[in-house]
Amino acid sequence: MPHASFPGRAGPHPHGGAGILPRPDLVVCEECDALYRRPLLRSSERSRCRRCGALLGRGHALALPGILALTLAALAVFVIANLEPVVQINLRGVHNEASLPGALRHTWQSGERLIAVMAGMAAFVFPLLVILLRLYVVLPLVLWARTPPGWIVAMRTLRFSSRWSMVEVLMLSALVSIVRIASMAHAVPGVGLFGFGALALLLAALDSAGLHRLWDCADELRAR
Amino acid sequence: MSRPDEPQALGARTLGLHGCHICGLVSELQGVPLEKARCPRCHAHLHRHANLGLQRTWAYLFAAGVLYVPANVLPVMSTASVWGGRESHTILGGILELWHSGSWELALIVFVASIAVPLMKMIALSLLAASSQRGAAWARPERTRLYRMVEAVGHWSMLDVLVVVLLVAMVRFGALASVQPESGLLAFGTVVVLTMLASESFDPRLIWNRRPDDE
Repeated sequence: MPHASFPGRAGPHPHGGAGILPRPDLVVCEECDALYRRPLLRSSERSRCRRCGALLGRGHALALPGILALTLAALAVFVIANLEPVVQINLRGVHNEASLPGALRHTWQSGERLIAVMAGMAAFVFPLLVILLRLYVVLPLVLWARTPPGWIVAMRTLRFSSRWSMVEVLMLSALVSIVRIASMAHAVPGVGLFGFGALALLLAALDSAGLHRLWDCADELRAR
Repeated sequence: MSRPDEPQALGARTLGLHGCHICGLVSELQGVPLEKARCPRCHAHLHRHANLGLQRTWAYLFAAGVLYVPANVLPVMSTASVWGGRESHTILGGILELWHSGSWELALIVFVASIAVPLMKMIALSLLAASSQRGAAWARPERTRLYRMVEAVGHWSMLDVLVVVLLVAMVRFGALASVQPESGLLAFGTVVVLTMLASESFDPRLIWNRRPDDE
């Protein structure tokens, strides 16, 4: 683990007077407010807070084009996972299947609309936002080395959406529902379930690449 | 007092340095009052430590605690079939069904996700909020780790909401068999959302706040 050392104060503001001076040479632990000099991290290295053990940063394991490729893959998998049934069921010769959009529609029609909205946000809207916003911010960085219009709003919405996107939970709940229904009918996982499994892995990989790195990339580009 | 074995570190704020909780950039305030300071990179307020923060956490926790009762007492779904008649299922009932059908592993997972996690989250966050409010100095690294765990497991409780939504779509055989979501599920989902909001509104840096008589 690279050594973190305690920094001192910077000199007075370069322009004099009151102001807010960015200090990209420092990191502050988000969980306990401990202050460190920003360590130089090689690929797959990570630094942790000495005091509370929180993750401070990771090395550039995944370059920007890699992030873009994963995001495009996630978009393709998202479309397939939503078009295909998650589970297929057979009850005394009658066949039935449920895809995620279909399940949301039927829950809406059953009258419990708020539940349909809640599930739709967690399993459909936020995952889609995560993919589209990541594409929106990474694509211009990779192709034209610049940030898109509305960069700050896009990045902050992306952070919020990642928190509320629950693809991996959907995957587990499909497995539980198959077992729950087993006493009544025969159910098997559909292509959509494997799609959501792959999507969960892709989103986890993107998540570990971190948003702080994208902020830093944009800063570096502007500084050039 | 801090424990002798607790690793020492400089608190950023005591040096007028503030880490942004949104984008991570560290800013040095030079003559700008913290209440007015915004992150130069993402424009978020740098001041996250107002007492309002803890009040918000308490409010979310209180609402979640109140709704936890109907979420577990009211049925979350009902099944109707020509051979089984009409039945209502609660969260706990669903877990028992899984258990009796022989899938004790899944029963355990659902029990942890639906019953244990929301309850433990509410207890853990109450403990964290109460101890931070009093500026307690004990077990700071451990309490920070507890918060990290609460953050990591929180959204898994949404499991049961998605299970019912999928069952509604799977079991559509007209008069033969059908599944309906019930109002308990809405209470349950709201508890999950409220506990997630509570843990988001809690700033773990409050755990490390020192009182003047500290040290």
